[in-house]
Amino acid sequence: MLPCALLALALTAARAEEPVQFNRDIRPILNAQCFKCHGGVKEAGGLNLQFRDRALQAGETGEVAIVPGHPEKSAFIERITTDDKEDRMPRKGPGLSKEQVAMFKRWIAEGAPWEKHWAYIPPKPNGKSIDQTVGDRLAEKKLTLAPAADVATLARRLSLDLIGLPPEPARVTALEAAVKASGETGWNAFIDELLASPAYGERWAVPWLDLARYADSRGYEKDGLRDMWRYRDWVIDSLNADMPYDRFVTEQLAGDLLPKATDEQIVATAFHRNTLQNDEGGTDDEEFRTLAVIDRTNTTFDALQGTSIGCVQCHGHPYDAFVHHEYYELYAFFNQTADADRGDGSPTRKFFARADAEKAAPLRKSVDELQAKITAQENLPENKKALTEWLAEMSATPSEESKDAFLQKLAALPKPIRDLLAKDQKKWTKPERTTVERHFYGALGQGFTELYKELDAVSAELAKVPVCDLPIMQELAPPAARKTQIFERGNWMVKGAEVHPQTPQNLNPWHDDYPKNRLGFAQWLTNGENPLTARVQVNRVWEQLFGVGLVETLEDFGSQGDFPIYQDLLDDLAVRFQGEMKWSQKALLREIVRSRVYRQTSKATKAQIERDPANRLLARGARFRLSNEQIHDQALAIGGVLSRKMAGPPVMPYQPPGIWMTPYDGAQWKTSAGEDSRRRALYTLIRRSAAYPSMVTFDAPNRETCSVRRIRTNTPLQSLDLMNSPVYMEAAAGLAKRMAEPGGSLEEQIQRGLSFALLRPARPAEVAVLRALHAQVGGNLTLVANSILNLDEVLTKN
Amino acid sequence: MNHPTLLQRNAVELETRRFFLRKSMACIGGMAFATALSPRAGAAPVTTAPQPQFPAKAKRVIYIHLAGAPSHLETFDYKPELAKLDGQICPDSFLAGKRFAFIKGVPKMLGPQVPFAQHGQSGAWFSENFPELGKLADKLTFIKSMWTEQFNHAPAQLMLQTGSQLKGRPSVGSWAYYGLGSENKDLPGFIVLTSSGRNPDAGKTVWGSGFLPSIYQGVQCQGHGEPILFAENPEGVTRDQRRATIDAINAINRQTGEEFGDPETATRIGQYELAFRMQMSVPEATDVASEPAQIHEMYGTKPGENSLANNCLLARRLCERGVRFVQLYDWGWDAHGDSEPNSLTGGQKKKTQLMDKAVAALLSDLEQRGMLHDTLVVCGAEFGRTPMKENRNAGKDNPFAGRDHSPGGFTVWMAGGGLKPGFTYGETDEFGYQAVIDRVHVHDLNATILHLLGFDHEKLTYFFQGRNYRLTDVSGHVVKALLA
Repeated sequence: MLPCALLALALTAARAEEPVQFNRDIRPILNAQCFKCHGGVKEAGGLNLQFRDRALQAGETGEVAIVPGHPEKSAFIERITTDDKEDRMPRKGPGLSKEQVAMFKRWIAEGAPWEKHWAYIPPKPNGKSIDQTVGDRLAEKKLTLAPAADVATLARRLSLDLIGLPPEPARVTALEAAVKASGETGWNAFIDELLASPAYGERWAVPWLDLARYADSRGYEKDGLRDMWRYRDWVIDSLNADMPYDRFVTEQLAGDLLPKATDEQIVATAFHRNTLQNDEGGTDDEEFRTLAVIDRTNTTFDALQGTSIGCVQCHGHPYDAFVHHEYYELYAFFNQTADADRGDGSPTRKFFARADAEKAAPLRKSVDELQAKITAQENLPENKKALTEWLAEMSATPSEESKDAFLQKLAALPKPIRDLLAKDQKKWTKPERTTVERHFYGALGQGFTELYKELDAVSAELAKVPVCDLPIMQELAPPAARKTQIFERGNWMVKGAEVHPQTPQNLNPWHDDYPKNRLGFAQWLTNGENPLTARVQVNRVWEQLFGVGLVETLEDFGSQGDFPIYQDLLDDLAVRFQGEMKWSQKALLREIVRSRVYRQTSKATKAQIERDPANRLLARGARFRLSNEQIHDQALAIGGVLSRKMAGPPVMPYQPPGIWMTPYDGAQWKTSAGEDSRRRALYTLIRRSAAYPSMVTFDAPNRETCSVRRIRTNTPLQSLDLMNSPVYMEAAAGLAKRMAEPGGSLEEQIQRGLSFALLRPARPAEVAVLRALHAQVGGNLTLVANSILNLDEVLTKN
Repeated sequence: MNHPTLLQRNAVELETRRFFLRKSMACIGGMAFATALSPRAGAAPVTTAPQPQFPAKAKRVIYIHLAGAPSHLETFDYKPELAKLDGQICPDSFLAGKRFAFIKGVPKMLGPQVPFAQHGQSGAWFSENFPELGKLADKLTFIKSMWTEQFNHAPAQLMLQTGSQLKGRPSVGSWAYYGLGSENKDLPGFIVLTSSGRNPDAGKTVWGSGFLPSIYQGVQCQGHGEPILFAENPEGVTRDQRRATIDAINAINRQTGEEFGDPETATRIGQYELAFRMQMSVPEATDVASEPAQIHEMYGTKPGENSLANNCLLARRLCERGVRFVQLYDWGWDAHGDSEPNSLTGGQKKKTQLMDKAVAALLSDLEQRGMLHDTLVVCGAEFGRTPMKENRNAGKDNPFAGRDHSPGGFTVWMAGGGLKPGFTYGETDEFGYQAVIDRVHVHDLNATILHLLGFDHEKLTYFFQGRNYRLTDVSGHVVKALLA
């Protein structure tokens, strides 16, 4: 039996009067105990329990498994209750429990209704608040919501959740006063302030970049670096602008196909250019183009539909109702872009960072104007003629009498020009030609020399502004459109029947007015009829806040995934997210973090934890280790050394030697200068084959493929990193400075340090421990600060 | 733990901790967490600590996983009948209902690419790529009838190592560590060593602890650079000072543990203790360079190199020091024939010869040290290779001799504790395609490994969200014929 089915059953027991629900009560048992032999892959005894019509037919023995209304006539019941060991089902294991048997009997007596898998039925509102839904369910279990966490704990929780950074102690003090004075108004102002902070986009970009497999390198063996950062900045900016989720998704899938697509909408399409690119010699570009399209198809479903369809590449889905050809019909949507695993990554387009665009624009304009002026002057007929004559003269073989004059002329030229003139003019490169022409025009006077100088100066200034040569999506023009065929058994070279773009039958219907391309696909995905889009995103947001999704398997909403105990809550939020909230993630977050459920204290007794270790019932607040990015950014923020510089090319903070093995390009990790070595972790350069060590240690994915969920670990390697790495020692030195600078007694300094980190008053016992430590380590306050930054309460969201 | 200086140091540490509990934390109830540290499992917390059901034949495991899956047909599974079919069109019956990763249309059969010979009294077959291991034929136990359902690397590796093709289940090493605890409280009980430049396809979830407490996950030593990053204290910080900081951190953490009741806090306390001990023990344990010249000669090791040979030697050193489970992953065995390194007669041959030397050295070395009888050495991969030649480009033969993934039949060999030595079990069909006699599923292999460690695989379970989970899911049978 699936783990959560048990919890679900436990909950159901309290509602014995309600009719049995197939998806809630029956399917999980069939899934765990029956489908393996009586499902899509194997139909033992001719019985397939996946479909009602099949279960109601006579099997190979002539018996009918399920006779609606008549448990006593149903062979199914007989086989699960018989004492005959040969006949009893399921054949392996101890058999079904009495409660399960009773449930089956009741369900058959009630007519044995089947239901479509819950996640493919559109969500329905339940008309209750988060607190009502959870409170009612807990009451059935004779439980209640835990009391609210104290203001300081909650302020830290909110701040880490919404902006990924801790609040300043002074802000917490002010909040305490505000809450005392005005209650909810104080909280709401604080929440709004966090949601309005530019740091919000940086924090929420991280889980999205995991999905988008954002990295700064190409992947595979060579794994050379490439420009992708402008896309990362687009995600941050869009989140900060609270771009509605439907638009957020549409622009990333099909920004280039929108009417009059803006630069920003083109940048968004780099979402699906984060696929790996293989630059290894001898690889077939078409093979790796195909793999990139497969990855786009899979990622789209993993990230946006919580559905793994990778298996349908080769055969029908073993458990869920997706069939083989449907995979290639989806693939067909993504099979029409111009990129083709080419070495230059084309198509790409150059973009400045958004903040630089303003600075770069006048420079760009001067360059263009100067260039235009120069070109016009160069192209004056008399100048052009003079140049042509001179070039002809310098390339002709001089006659005997003009030889001396020619040689004199030649000797008067600078050596680089002389050398170039000695070469075949037809073989000049463009810059070589320019060099010669500039020399000639410069010698003419007419202000050319000054103009060239000016152009070079402005161009050099412009070159200093970082440019991102970003891979983008570009649809092939119809004559070049590709034909999509099924790959027999998933093999890209064995092409079967031709297919056309189409969405799967068991999801929402296609609208005939949608174009059959990525844009139409995005419309289908976000038109409010898709049963998964809103649920999947709501669940992701929930998981970020609570540590576990309402559906624990973020990656699988199918029948093998987790069954949500709070499906009604998930559905209600999904309906409202795509309805009244107009796909606003900030509105969704506001709704959740204002709830009592979110605000509960995470303090629990042993018995409470044993009863519900993963806190699926939500009878207490969430407590779990912070993410790689939160731990890093928090330590630097507490140490007062975090750079808040946003956007731009990736940075290289300290990394131990020997991490990069770069047999091909000899690229070196060079620690960034100045504040760039202390930026937020999401700006750290990600090279897929040699991930930044702390990222690996603290469970961040290497971004090779779409990563839907991070698994949290707790290892000694984390302790060593936090205690000894120069990055965390720098944070500790910063904290020590902040502790010492305002002066005061050692006790006061320690109290200050603790309250910077914990945002609550230090306790005497804690201060005593750290005072003793201070003496033991010879008065090294940095080591005291280092210890504070290593506390469980600091590394954890409480 | 018989090292006197270690004993002394541990006594000091214990005392330090008691001092802190008494002096600093008594008032806030820190003692409760001191008992959360299991004496048996080193730093591992006592959960529902299992007990072995019968005496263990093997006390520790060295598991060598050749990631990518080498060809059983060029290593141990000799198929003279296949040689006769070399170059012929593959019969339809081989293709009907089968799935392949790369084979297109109708491929040709590919005979064994390496000559074979029998070795030892047991007459076990070895290809000529195994001059060294052949000499140890009578110490090995072969299963030639392995099979799995998974035919792509990542899910097949997960299946073999965790008993499920989906991510999130504990690995066999985690189960062993969970079941047996560690014999050395200065080192993690489960260490992972990777070589040839990359991690296995399925990433670190293949050594994850799944729903078991995270302390049971494998700890990976870096393949290059420092074996454990940041094991050295920052400049100017002494070991005593580090001890003091950890005592302070853990003293306050014990209070946090009391306050929040979160089991992760107890794990973290244990991990800081372990980290401290590792700072001392890891550099010593991983100092391969300190081995004498004849050992390097025997293994083919070069200190500082990221190689399978180095990891074999490292595995022996770790096992000597009481590490329960050492998992090796060597990358680059995906013998498709699409490139020279993946050629059965080129790169793969050379790789096999290096492996032969290192693994044979490991077995001899363990035996010389009196450790082989209670150490279980397992060597295998996630699946086998097809008897057909791969032809991924439009059905055109690959440029080099290579084979596609084949889950239906492959070979795993084991040696050491509790096994019948010089014994071969099971057979594939005459072409080496499907296991046909005495078939052994990966669940059966895992059940057998746990049996050798003293566990009934149906009873080594962990209760998680309403259900008892185990390594072998709902199946698996101990292969009794393999047992001594």
